[in-house]
Amino acid sequence: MLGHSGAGKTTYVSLMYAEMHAGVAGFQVRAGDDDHHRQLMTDAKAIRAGTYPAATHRRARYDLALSYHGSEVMPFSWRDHRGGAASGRTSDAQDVAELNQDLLDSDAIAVFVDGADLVNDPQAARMVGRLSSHILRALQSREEFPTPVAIAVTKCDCVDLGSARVQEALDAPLRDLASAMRASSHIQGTILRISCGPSPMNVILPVLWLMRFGVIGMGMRLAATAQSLSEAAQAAAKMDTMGDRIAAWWRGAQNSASLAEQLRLNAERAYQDFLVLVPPVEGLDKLLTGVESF
Amino acid sequence: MTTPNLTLTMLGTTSSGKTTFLLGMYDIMSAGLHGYFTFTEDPDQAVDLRDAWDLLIDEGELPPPNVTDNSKHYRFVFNHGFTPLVTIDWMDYRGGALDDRRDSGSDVLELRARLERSDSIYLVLDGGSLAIWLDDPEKRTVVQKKLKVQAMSSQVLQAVTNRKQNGLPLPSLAVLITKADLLRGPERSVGQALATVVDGLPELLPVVWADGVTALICPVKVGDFGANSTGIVNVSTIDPVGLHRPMIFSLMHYLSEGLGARAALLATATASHSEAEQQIAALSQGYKAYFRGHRVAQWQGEADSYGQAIADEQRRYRSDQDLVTQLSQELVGQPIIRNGKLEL
Repeated sequence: MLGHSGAGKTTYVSLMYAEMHAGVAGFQVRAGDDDHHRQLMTDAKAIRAGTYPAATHRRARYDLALSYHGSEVMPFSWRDHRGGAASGRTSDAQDVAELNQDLLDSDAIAVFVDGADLVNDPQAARMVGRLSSHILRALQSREEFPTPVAIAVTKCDCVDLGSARVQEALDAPLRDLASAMRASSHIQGTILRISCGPSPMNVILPVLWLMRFGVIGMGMRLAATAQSLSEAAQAAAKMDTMGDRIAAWWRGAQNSASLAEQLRLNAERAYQDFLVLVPPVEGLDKLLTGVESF
Repeated sequence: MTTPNLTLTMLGTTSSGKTTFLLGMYDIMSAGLHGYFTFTEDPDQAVDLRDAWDLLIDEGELPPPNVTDNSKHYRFVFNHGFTPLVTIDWMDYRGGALDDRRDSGSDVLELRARLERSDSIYLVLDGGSLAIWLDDPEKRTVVQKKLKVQAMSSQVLQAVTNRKQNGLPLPSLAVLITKADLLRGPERSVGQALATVVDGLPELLPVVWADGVTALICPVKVGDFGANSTGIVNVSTIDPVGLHRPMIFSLMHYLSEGLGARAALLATATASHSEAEQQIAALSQGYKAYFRGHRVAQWQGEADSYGQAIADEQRRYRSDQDLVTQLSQELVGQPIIRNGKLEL
């Protein structure tokens, strides 16, 4: 998670967890650590009552897992950084370097932008524009791996979304970055307006949108593995001759026939794992109907 | 494909507005402008630049004159969207390095060496000083001295001459007229003042009229701070203009120069491809052709690889050409001097 102080990152992770833990159309998120589970649920309860969590003072890492109808689909690690880390120097605090490294290593990035600030504070657009550098620096070398970037505009319950002035204030600072994502072949982007107050709105969308790309990426890797294992099995099967079997027996090594069978089973297993991901992706597609990706 | 590196050197006297220009340029370009983005390779440098810009925007505090008068080095990445176009090795030289004696500082010699390997050089002229000359043409010598333009021009001319002798492409020059608001005078608009400055450049900065040199004359301002602006300015007068153009120009010129090199590569590859095709045709003639299959296959392999190289080079050429066209849109109406001739 990337965002300036007060953008609502910590509030978001608590409320998102509580909503996803309660379950959404068969999907559920569960923390691996019971202490994390309790902390996130307690914070979410307080937020719903109007009390927001204190600002994050250091990086928090939550190891979570997404499941669908009770079966685990994908484990993921959600990292919450201190807001000041996005505008600090590595020489000033260790967590600045951690944020920079996390951005380089992340499979997905959630950017948090304070919508109320954008509308009410003329200087806020400048701060938001600066987040672009972090994203560009982190993702410019990732030509081969598609990376999803969800931009969550928070506190949208505090602004009049029906006003053209408000719409422009929310859109303008993100326009160049959104255009760059749109033109990129290796970045998938979306902008989601959310609110995490006592009347939450669209809280689950950023996480579900990011999960969808995570699951699809996992599916693509499994499909590629199944394909290459299957080709290797076919190649091994072609090497299966009486001479090969005798030579392998003499050397005490695995013969080509046995290797081909083992590779075929592995390919089948990868393919079955791939098939398991199809229903969750279809489920996520349904939940994300109408969400624009670019 | 590796990102090409552009070496850029900025020269100007102390308090000419070099640092303020850099801060403003970075603020604009880092947030993205018409699809172009700039960011520092080192995230900490970005924080330094932004903190200094914030002080100006929020508190009206101009960057202080550099007490130690050190030169500053930055590395920027210039992107179109998520595509890196060039990395920029940027050196902001201390004013004193311009006319110091060879033995007075290590950066004096370094400056001379660096100018010779620079792809782009920014010559920063303080608009306030130019206004003195515009108000009273008799004061030209005083202004020349104040701006150190003779030292600038001769050092850059030396670098240009050396590069020419070594058959290297010449650097682009951008004449930045900072504090452009100060050019305005009694019965003189900024535009009229700029026209007079351009007319006077052959005497002021002869190097920009040198044969083979391409120079942008670019007035820039961060705000309307007035002649006596010192440490603190009124934040309501901050009004940046033209700060992105020098960098756009540097990149455009760099890519344009590259187009020539690409065209030469393309011509070489095409000639080699044609020769390979001729060899294949010659070897395939007559009854002995039956015995030359191996040699024909060898030449065919060469022809194929040249064909691929031609296709790749043509693709890169078209892509750079499109980009040059796009970038030139940002500079429409800006005075550019090419080969001693003014283009508008």
